[in-house]
Amino acid sequence: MGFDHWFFLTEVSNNQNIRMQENELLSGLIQNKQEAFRHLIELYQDKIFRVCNGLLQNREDAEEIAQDVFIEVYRSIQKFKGESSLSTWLYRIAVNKSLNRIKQNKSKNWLVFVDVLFPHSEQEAVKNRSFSVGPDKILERKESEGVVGEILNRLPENQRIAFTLHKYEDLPHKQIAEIMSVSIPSVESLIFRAKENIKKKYSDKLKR
Amino acid sequence: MKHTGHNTILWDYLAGNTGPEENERIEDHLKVCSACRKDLAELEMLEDFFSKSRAEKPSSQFMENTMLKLEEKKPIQPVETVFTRHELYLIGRKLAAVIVIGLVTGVLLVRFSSFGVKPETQSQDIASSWSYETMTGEEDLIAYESYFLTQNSDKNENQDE
Repeated sequence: MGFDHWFFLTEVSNNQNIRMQENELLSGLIQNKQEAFRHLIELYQDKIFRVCNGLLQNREDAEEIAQDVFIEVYRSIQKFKGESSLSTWLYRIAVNKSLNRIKQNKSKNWLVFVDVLFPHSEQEAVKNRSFSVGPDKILERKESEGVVGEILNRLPENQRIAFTLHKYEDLPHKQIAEIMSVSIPSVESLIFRAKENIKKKYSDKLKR
Repeated sequence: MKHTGHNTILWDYLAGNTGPEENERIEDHLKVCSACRKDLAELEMLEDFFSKSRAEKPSSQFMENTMLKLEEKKPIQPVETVFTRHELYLIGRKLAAVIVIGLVTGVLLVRFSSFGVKPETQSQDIASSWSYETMTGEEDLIAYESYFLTQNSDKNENQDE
């Protein structure tokens, strides 16, 4: 038996083991066993947190959203039809929840900006002046948080998702395509464009 | 090495995703191309950021906090349906038939019964058939007068008795 053949068999048996473990876990989750959920969190907490952190570029938000992902699984496990793997389903929930949080944050930032422009009272106006959240300050804060984080935040949504799943989780293109409900060539193109964009914007930042 | 899309190639090179032959080709090119060396240096800084980000983990209380939240939330149980889809289809079909029959019967009743048909002869007693909707102007006046007269004549007859 050649090395390649042995490697192939090992790979197949590993995949079978993973599938068996996943099936056992799934039946425990469907029966709402606390231990099954504990096991699920143990298995996926780092992965889900990484994806959320990659998309949100904020630790606190990422942790909160990652918790929400597991709560969502707990609440809707009965709806899981098994059409995709459990991990794909989890990643999909994580991506959707993170995107929702990004939208919420955008509207919050807009409200803060409106509050600064039109304060309700003189007291608030003084407070806003002393802790100004104007564009300059926002930029300063973002720079301190990290230039790369800012660049990632400004990437188009699809590029950001594909790049995060590829770079932070090292997921195969096939799984990324399943999570995003797009074709594999689309994923390849999104990752390529994201890499080019990030590099270009990073070079521009360094030139300034 | 072509410069179109070279960043992606360099990125793959840094991540160790290129084969030995390609590595050799990239390294040969880097020896002679200062622009690519600069790009590689920048990509190394980016890669450094991503490797640090990848190493980040949730807080140590993550598990306990999540389990506490789980205990607060109850799972959504699927609604147990009393009827199967086929049974629901049959019931719906019967219901639709009953509605159609009801409508047809209603239309026929209205068409062939006296209900809703304007009477051909009016009552002699105008006062008793007086209604606000059917009469206006002169008819009102005539009806009122005849009613008033009838009332008065009744009173007179009673008084005579």
